[in-house]
Amino acid sequence: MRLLQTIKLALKSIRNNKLRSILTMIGIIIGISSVIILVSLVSGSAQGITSQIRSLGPNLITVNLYGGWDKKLSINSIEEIGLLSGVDEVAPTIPTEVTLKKERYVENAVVTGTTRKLLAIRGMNLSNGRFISDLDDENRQSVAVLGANKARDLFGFGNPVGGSIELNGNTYFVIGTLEAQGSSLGNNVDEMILVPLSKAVSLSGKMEIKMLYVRAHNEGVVNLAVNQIDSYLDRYFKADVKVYSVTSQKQLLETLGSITGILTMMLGGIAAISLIVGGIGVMNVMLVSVSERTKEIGIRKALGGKKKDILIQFLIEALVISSIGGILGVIIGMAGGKALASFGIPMAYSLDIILISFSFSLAVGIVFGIVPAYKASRLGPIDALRYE
Amino acid sequence: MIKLIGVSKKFKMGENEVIVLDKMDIHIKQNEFAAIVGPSGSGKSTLMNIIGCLDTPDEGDYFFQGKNISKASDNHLADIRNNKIGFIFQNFNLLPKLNALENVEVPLQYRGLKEQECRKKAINYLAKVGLTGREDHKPNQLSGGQQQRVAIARALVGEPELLLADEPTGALDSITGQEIMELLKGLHSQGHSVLLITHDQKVAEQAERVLQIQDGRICHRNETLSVGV
Repeated sequence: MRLLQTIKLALKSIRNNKLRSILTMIGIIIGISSVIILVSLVSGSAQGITSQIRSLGPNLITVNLYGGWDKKLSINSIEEIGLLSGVDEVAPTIPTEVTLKKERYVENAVVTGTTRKLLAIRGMNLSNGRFISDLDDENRQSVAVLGANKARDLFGFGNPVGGSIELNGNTYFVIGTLEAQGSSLGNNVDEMILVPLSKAVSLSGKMEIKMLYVRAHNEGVVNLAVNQIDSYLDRYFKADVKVYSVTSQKQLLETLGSITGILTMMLGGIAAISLIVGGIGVMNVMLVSVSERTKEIGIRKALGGKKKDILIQFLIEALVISSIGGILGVIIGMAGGKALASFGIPMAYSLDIILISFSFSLAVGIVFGIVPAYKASRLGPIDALRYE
Repeated sequence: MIKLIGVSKKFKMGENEVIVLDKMDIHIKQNEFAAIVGPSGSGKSTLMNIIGCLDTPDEGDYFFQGKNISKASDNHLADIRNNKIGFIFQNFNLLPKLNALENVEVPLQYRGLKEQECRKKAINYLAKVGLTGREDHKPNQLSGGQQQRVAIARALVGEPELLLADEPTGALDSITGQEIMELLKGLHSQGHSVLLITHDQKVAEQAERVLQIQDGRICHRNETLSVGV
């Protein structure tokens, strides 16, 4: 029998048995689309978190100083850290609690003293005015830069630049506001009130740097910089307890990567189960259809059809049904993902997963299509003819 | 054209072995219209399956056009069924999902003929059995007689050497049955070899030669045309 004719025959048989074909396809469609949606969901949220960390810059290193040790970090030592190999720039921060007053409004707030360099290191952008300058720091200027939310809370939608607030009874002029950045890792830039480092020292009454933001020259030297800072601080404090920690975004990313990897595997596994269930559905339909079609096989054999002809016919049928189901599954999976994404849920498609689930369903369709057909094709024509 | 020598066939029924055909010798000549008649259980269906290359004998030799095919491969037998034998079954055995035309095309498709050629021949043979205009009808839209005509067109379309009719009138009323018999007789007069298998003595007597079979043996040979009965 000619191949083209066999293909036409198989297509016709799919059309003639619409219900059976659709049921088979549904099994495959559900399997594939659920795998695609679930895996895209996991990798989408993983990518969301990762990009948030990455937006801080993969070169960023944070140093937390726990306090409680009698020796504190001096301005000189910060300059020394800035000269360590691999280190580009360093910005110290001193957070301190103050009484914030604006006209008749009073609250307890945390202000953060820092230097000019923080703006670039943390990748912040100004929406208005200017940032703290070196001169502000040297001259102990009473100026403040407000995070986006803080500016709106205190000044409404007007321009805060030129306005003033009172911190512990002293007037501070607002010189700039920051663009909204969103919270990242518990450190919300939008809620910040930034003042010159020297002013934070006088506000808190002590020179105690709590945190350093360090930028490495590039991603390649991050680990070197981390090691350098670590050994510098070790030498500096000579403490027998842990009084500081040095963390790079790269390390965070790696930890996060392993967590999301596990999550992907888990949800992928659940989705794979639905793929298998879909496959069993396909198997069911195919098995039933072959026993239902044994008589047809008998007639075809009596009229001169060979085992090969029968097998090819069933193989093409299974192939066409599985691949149509597979393509529909991919389309529906991606459309479902798009629909979820429109609700603001981050989705990320992976070509690997699409290919794997597609070929799995194709394999299932073909195997379960051909195995029962193979059995039926081996029946003698009279046995198949007598089959009712 | 067909020669069976000492053909035997046994079936296992539980622990018992039933001998269905017992060393049967049959010879059917070219252009002959022969009938094999016997009650049910006489082994005539088994005999028809062997003659039709749907089954192989346990013992004995089967010569089809001089060639011994008692041990032929499945594919070889499929080729013989496709090229040399036209089947007409009692229950028609049409493919229910295909229309009349497509049913008639099936044997030609397995022969590897081009699509247009299949179509042309099928239309031609449907016309010969008087079914022009019914090409698009599915079997369940046709009467029993019409279905059997489709089956006959399907049997004829490959221009086989032998027409094998197993109870062709069995599922039809007597008038339609007689129409089908006339059709077969007409085909015989056009030069086809026809082998009719039936339990109905009256149907069998319309053949040139009647072979009576009982318990797996030929018990009576009526070599002359049954004119004087």
